[in-house]
Amino acid sequence: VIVIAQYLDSLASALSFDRALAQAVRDEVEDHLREAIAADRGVAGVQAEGRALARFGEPYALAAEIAVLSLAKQTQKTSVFTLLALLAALLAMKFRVAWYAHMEWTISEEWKPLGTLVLSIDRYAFWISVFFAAVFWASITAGWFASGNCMDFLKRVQIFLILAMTSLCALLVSVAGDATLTILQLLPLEWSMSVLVPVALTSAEIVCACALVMYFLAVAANIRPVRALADRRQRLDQT
Amino acid sequence: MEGEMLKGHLDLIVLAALAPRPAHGYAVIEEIRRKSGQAFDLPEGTIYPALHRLEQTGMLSSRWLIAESGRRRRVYALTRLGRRALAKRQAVWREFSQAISGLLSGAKRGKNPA
Repeated sequence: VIVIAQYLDSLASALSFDRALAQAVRDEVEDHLREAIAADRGVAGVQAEGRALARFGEPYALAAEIAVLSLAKQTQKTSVFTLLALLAALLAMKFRVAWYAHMEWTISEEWKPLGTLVLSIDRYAFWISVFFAAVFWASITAGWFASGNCMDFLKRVQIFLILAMTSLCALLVSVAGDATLTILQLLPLEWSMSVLVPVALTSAEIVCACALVMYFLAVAANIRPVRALADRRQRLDQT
Repeated sequence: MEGEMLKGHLDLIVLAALAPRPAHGYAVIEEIRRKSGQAFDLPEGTIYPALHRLEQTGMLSSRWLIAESGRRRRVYALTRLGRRALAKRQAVWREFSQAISGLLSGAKRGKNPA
């Protein structure tokens, strides 16, 4: 006889790639099943558990749907975080340029050709990143949840994550360009408090980009277990 | 009632079940059974992806409480967006239902000419 504890363990283990989600779903389903058993008056304990589980359905089917929804939510958050990181990078760039103008600093003649090249790469990379991030965000906002089955939903999530990755790669190139330009700008200067301003702004950009990369990798790492669950769900539907 | 037909309208059914008051998953299922005169008997687990999806789209909100039994309980409630969506879907459903009723009664008359 499958008992409630085993059922809940199967459910939590299927969602173990996201511990918080697994615990929340486990608590929610346990509450449901205990309520169902309590309502099934006049039936012996184990029998009532069996009936409650039979009415509830297969744990992997539920786990697959919940997992895909969770991945979709994370992807949605990725789109917002990407836009925020781009906004942070843009503000840092603008402040830095304003600071250079205020301090009347310019890149030395020796480094100017390299500076010009890096600047154009930086600009193109930044706007490419903005373009893909905007497409990513707009596609999600336009019709994200009007979905069919788990596999279709998962395929869509993967396409969006490819858009996010493209935007992220371009952002990394842009941030690397900014860091290079900051170094070229500050090379001829002596260290002072005023030098710390562009250094702090560039560091903030790098931290934002790294945090976004970490978040993206964590989301991307969930694709494989979610796909395995969706495959299992599809096989269950076919049988 | 056919499971596939129910699944197609699950969001509307869940929103309607939550319209009177906030409720946890089991209470939503019970409300659906009661209001449908036991006609809607879905596998109970199917309600949770619908609840989570509706929460993600902002139509529902949820909070965790401690039930009398001492267990953690997640209670869902309609948001303002959810109430608007329910009203809109109810109107679409009524229109659709009237159209189908008209069509079927026409078919019935055609079958049995006077």
